Amino acid sequence: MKKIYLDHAATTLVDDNVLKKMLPYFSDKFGNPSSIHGLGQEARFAVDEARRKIAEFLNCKTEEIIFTSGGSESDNLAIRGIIENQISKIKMQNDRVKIEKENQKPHIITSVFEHHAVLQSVKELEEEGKIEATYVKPNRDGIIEVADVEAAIKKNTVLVSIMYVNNEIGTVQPIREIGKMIEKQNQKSKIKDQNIGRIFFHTDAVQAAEYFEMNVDYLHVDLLTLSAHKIYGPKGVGLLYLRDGVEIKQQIVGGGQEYKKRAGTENVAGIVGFGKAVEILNNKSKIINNKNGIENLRNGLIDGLLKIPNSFLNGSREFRSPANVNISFLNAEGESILLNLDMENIAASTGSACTSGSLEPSHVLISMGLHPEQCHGSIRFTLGRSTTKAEIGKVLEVMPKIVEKLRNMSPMK
Amino acid sequence: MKLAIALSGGVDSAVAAKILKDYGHDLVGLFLKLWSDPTSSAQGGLRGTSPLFPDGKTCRRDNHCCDYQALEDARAVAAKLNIPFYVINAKSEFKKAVVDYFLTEYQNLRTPNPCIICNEKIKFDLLLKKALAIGCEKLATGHYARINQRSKIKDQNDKSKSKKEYHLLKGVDETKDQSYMLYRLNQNQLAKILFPLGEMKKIDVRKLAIKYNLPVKEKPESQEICFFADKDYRNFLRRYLPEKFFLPGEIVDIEGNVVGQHQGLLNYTIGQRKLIDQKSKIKNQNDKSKIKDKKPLYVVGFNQEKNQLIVGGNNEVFKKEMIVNSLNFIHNSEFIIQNSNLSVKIRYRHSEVTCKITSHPELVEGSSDNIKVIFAEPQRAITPGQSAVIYGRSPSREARFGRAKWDEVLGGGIIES
Repeated sequence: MKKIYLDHAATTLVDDNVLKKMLPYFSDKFGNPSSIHGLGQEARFAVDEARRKIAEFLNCKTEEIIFTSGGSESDNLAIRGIIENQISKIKMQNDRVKIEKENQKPHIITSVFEHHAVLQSVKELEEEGKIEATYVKPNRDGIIEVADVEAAIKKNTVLVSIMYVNNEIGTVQPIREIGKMIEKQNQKSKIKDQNIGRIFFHTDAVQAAEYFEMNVDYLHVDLLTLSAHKIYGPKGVGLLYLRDGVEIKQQIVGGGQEYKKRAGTENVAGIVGFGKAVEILNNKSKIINNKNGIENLRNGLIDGLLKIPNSFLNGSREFRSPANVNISFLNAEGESILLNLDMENIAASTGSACTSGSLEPSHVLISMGLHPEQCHGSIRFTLGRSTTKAEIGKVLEVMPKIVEKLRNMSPMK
Repeated sequence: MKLAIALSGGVDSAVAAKILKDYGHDLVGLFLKLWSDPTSSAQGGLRGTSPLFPDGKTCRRDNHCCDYQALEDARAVAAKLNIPFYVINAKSEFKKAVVDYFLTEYQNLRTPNPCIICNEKIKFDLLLKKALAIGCEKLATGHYARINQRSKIKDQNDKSKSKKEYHLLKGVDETKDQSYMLYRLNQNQLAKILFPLGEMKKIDVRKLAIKYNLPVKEKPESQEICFFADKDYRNFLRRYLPEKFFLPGEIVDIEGNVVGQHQGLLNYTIGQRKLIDQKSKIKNQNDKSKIKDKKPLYVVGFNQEKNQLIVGGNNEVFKKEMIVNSLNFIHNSEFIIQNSNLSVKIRYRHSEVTCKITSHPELVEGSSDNIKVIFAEPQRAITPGQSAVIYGRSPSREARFGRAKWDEVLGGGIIES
């Protein structure tokens, strides 16, 4: 039986053209970009080319792109990098003016429903006593409101990190509006050194790249995380966009790669694949067509699933990724639905792939004010380029039976 | 048949899986993720030094059933057999049903058997339901026990009205038999369970594991309680129970005479001789005659209010009867109470003793959840909190081997006193 893959938010397959482009860099063109000889140069050219394509996509300079091992590393680097740099700046300043200022802990604003790569980084810094943090809650539709972020800003706020598209419920956050608001705040305060007394804005755009505007100037962001394997590129490669002039403390040390901001021999094949994946994505007309097609399929899936009694869509339908469906079925456990779907060769998810396999209710759904029992019955389908109408039809055929079966199960005791 | 197999990462469940797979069943592997003490280092729960281990030492977990090693081993078995594999997270349910029960029992100075409750409420309830929910007809495990299915004819005139009845029997390998741990199951559960190793000996299971080159073939046995790593369960209790349970107090004899000092009531269980120190007291009294005929003393009870440990001589550790409650009968309980051909096991490693069962006479009404068990001969260390499992002689086995064995679990309960 053919597998139906509806878990594109977890990962995507590698596009044929991406794979083709990558393959020589495992064998014939295996050089280290830092080597002076021809093989090294060949690899360097390939990395440069990929970086140029991505810079074009993000509307940024090539040296504003730091390649990493993926989204999680980029998020860690963004948060820890900014904070640790701030701490040393503050220390230097205090040393200079020779006064001990108290309560100069940097302050971070993030949201309660960020990806754990952001959330854990912030919590860890908090536990280490290095920062203060405010966790903004989304509204019931799963949207972070600009006013709430603004209200959380304090004198010592140095970083705001809000995700672009939520990985579980697919809701789109007003990144541009938050970016503009922060820019205004920064203009209000008189900043001498652009790295002191200023608020930086980071967004984890991993789930957004496939469908939404990625122009960093349009978005008014200073840092932005991307990952290749969510856009039909390979796993193990991602990037952090870092606006020119923004300083971070390097986290992986031991080499001068990536503009001295991330040591380690470049993952050449991975970066080449990332570049190609972005090049394909940057073909705008193709993307818009694709987006509309997927959105139609998604609407069909949402409407069909909502016909099952006692079901509801989690998160705004209007401000939502065209690929995301997240529906709760009361009195049917999401995990059991998922396993039943797997038996039918349909791949879905109960939440983010990083936390599934756990019955703990999703932190995303809880943050929107759902009760744990409402979260337990939730299931996520994320559509992709290969999704067909027939596949959606198949899901709509099996889902009512599965939910009904689970709801009718008699207790053992 | 579509079946689920509970894979623990051990040899037994791996061989059970292989047997079912070879039989042609459509198999799904399930692994239970259970709560374990987060202060154990291998769980990744410990960052830096913990206040509980100020010297930086952490406890190590080896061969425990829900650590990463076990998960990887279970997954390796599923991969080898090429079957789907799902991790079922039962952490919070396990914590509530088993760990909290374990702690509460100790707080009441009783000695629980958490595995029995885990079988009842986690493995053969939560996990079984999960197996059925994903479309499996039954759940198989690597337990050494057997389930026999017999037809019980309800109406002599109409044999089509016969009803299937499930009987729980000891595993053929009596040294490994786990039927004691399963007495709390009911007919609904037994109807949906398979024990592929019930007819096998452990030594043959090991041989099969080697023959089939299963990834876990050389894994040693693990029989300790799975949710903490401490060799001594008291260390675990010390971390989770109030200090008052570990405060020293008086040791008294049956008459109430103080005979020594104990080191905290939770350090003792019924029948224990270790840590009963009466020397100091005797020295104080300067009573040398007592040293002469000093007989070993054993724990026979507790007085929690006065923080006293009650001790007695060897004779006082033996009892000829006990009260058992929280009963579970696999069949009609009236039949069992009237049956004169019974035996009872008062702990897992106890050879059963012939017994009689009466409803508890002190109970005027509602004797259904309370029985008195009278032993054929007095038994040592009747321990409240442990399970008393009632065995009967299985007719089929008697017929086949011409000898009667106490090999059918009829039911049981938890020892009250």
